[in-house]
Amino acid sequence: MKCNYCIEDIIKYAENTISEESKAEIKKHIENCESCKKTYTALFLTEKFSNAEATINENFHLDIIKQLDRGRYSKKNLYFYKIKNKLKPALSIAACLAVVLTCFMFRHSIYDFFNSSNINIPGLNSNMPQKTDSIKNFDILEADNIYIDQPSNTAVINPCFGKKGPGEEYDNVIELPYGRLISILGRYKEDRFWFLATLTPGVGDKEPDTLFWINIDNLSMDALYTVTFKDCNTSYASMFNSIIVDLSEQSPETLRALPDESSVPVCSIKNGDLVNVLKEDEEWSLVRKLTDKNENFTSYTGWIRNENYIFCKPGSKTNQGFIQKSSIIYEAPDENSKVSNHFAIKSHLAPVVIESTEGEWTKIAIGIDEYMGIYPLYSSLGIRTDLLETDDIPSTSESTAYGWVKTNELITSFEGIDLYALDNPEIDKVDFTNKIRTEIMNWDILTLNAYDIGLSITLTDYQKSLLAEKLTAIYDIEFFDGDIIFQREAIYPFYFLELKTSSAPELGSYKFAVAGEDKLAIIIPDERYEYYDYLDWKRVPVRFIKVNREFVQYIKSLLPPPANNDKNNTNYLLNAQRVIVTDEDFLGQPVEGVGPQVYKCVRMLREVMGNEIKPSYIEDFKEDAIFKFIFEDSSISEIVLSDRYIRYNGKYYELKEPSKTVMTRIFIAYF
Amino acid sequence: MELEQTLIENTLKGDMDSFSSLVLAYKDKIYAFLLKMTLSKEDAEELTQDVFISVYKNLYRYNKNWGFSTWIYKIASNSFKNYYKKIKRSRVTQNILDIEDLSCNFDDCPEIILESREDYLKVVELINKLNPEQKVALVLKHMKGFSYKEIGKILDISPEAAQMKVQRAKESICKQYKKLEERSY
Repeated sequence: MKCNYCIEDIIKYAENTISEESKAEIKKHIENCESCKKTYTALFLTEKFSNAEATINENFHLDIIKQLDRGRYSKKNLYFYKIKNKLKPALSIAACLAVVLTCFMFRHSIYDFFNSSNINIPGLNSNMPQKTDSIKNFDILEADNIYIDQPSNTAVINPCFGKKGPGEEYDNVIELPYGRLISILGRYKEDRFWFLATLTPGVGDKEPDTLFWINIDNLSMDALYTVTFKDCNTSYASMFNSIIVDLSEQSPETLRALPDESSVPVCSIKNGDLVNVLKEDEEWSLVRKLTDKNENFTSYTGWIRNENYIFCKPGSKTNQGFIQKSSIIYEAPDENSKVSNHFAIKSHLAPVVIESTEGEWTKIAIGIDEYMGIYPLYSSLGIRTDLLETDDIPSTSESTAYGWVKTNELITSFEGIDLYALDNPEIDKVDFTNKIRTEIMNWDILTLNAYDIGLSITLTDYQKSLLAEKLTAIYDIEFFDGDIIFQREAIYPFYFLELKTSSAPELGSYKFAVAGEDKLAIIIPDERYEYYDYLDWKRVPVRFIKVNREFVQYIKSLLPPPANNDKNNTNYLLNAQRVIVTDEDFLGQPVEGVGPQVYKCVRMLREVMGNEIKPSYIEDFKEDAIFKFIFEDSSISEIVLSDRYIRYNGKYYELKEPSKTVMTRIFIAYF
Repeated sequence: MELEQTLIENTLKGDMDSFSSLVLAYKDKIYAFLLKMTLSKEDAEELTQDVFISVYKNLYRYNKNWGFSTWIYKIASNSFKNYYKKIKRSRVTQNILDIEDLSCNFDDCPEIILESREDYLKVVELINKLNPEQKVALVLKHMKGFSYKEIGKILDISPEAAQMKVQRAKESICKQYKKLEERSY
């Protein structure tokens, strides 16, 4: 059946926002179209999940009350809270007067401050030379009690006061109008909703202003994310989808600290710069510039007039773009020239500055990420950068590097680009085979289990190198976004290889299970992803590989499996072609499974089978769940669960777990 | 709504019983929302606590022109976004099994949806992979009574942007679900 419907149509149908006539048509169509049926199923289940209910413990409200400051809204404090908002204008005037007065009183200290490069934060910089005179104006409480893990610039979204300490009850330090750009220096260790910040200085004005505390409710959360060359997430990268246009002498080429032409410029910007629109107001928008080579900006985030940016389409001329991990960067516009080693890309995409384009070649440079704008603030505030907990602060040795890339490999617009494919690039099968083989050779501990028959050996070095040699090709790779259940995938006798290294015991192990004559289920330890250029913790993991048969045959020769024809052994059930499970309470309708589903049932049931019990001891065997295994010759074997016992082949056994738990284990996630 | 306003006013006069009633009225809703966001019982419980402590601390700033539920979900959604950044940094894998705590009724499941239980978990995993704002917008849209205008207020974006986020989230789930199904073995 030809499908004339798109996802939007099915969404409208699921949302019930179409006419009755179209509804009937689409309903009929969905019943016959596999693709639309899947779309509808996904939407239906999404709605189910969103509407699901949950209950927290019933005394939660009483427990919360115990944790609160009961005196917060006592009569004494109430008056203050009631008039607090009304006081704001008066407080501003008072604050101005206080500033004037303080300036007068501390005029000598202020002079010292503006003539020094260090501001002292008590506690943070005990090793720094201290200028005690300048502390007084910046005597911020708890400034040494912060996590410095998220340096970034953001904007105030609720007009408020910066506080002297991390709480509403502290004195006001500075009035912060709507939209004011501030630089976040750290997060309070005791209450993660409070941030230590300073006003983002204007371009060229390297001295930061007063330090203050601000509550997260007053900040734009979007701006707190940043995109760096080292770790660029595809979905965040795709948010840089707008391009700066129509800048002229009338609209100066800067981003501003406030949605106001007269506010300080924080970042210079040019026509063609790529930006991420964080917040769009009536006339102004808060945007973040992608990257640049100029290190003198104080922020990459700032305000710009709405008419100065548009959606970036393919082919638009831009000053920045993204290179892919697979892109080769040359030192000259020539495929025979040397490959540049300055562009070590760790994520699938990395932002770069476009220098110039010459036909099919584009000259690029490593840009500077947003952290760079804040970096100088730390040193001028006397915060030692070696104390920073983040590994994203670029070191000063990373100077700009240049290289050449094929123009068509550079991404400047994400319109029409499949982000999923970007995150999941093709795997080079030859390279993958070689690397897995090398790992088998180099990692020293290799154990082989055959769980169904209870055997296990550790391979000798000779066996290990022979096994590695036997792996000559990986023909096919399957990806699967979920955990792998080896009991479900392994064929009889459940060969399971585990590869460890004694030189780095903290590394996870490689796990392989034989899932067919030429198929392995596989888990590669996350820590080793870097070894394979195409693997990444963000991509859908590799779960199955199809290998040359000799590899599996060699595994078999190491622990040859006995024939599996003893009907009294539960392993015999693994020969079944189908299983039909009946449990009206748990499943409603009977459920049928084949292949891996048979294996999963057999192995899970065997795990919960306890000691044999004489039939005379069994009272009231109520059949809760019946597993009917059907063999090629149409013969049938049954396993029956009651609440406490399990019956197989006319014999009774203890059930180690309640039957409901057993059913959940079998049917949870992938059956 | 009037009762809610009275409870807020009484709390601001120091009456803790009134605040306790407010918590009682919202505790399960906020917990369910955060459980859907985090898929971790432990984290959802901790965040729910943080939310109510923050609600209490900031109650004097609550502006009654805002619906109280919009305000409280805004606080919850901010807590989640903050949490998300933290787990994103530490790359903690999430425990999808905690969705057992979300009671979900499949009785009205249309006949064409067969393997509901298995498919449900797949869809939950896809929802879990959305970026935090899309996830918040999507779940809030389906929860009773939230308009795009309110979602916009909660996320500090325009109603149109909120609608776009929901639309994109749905499209992404559908596309990825189809890919998963094509790959399923």
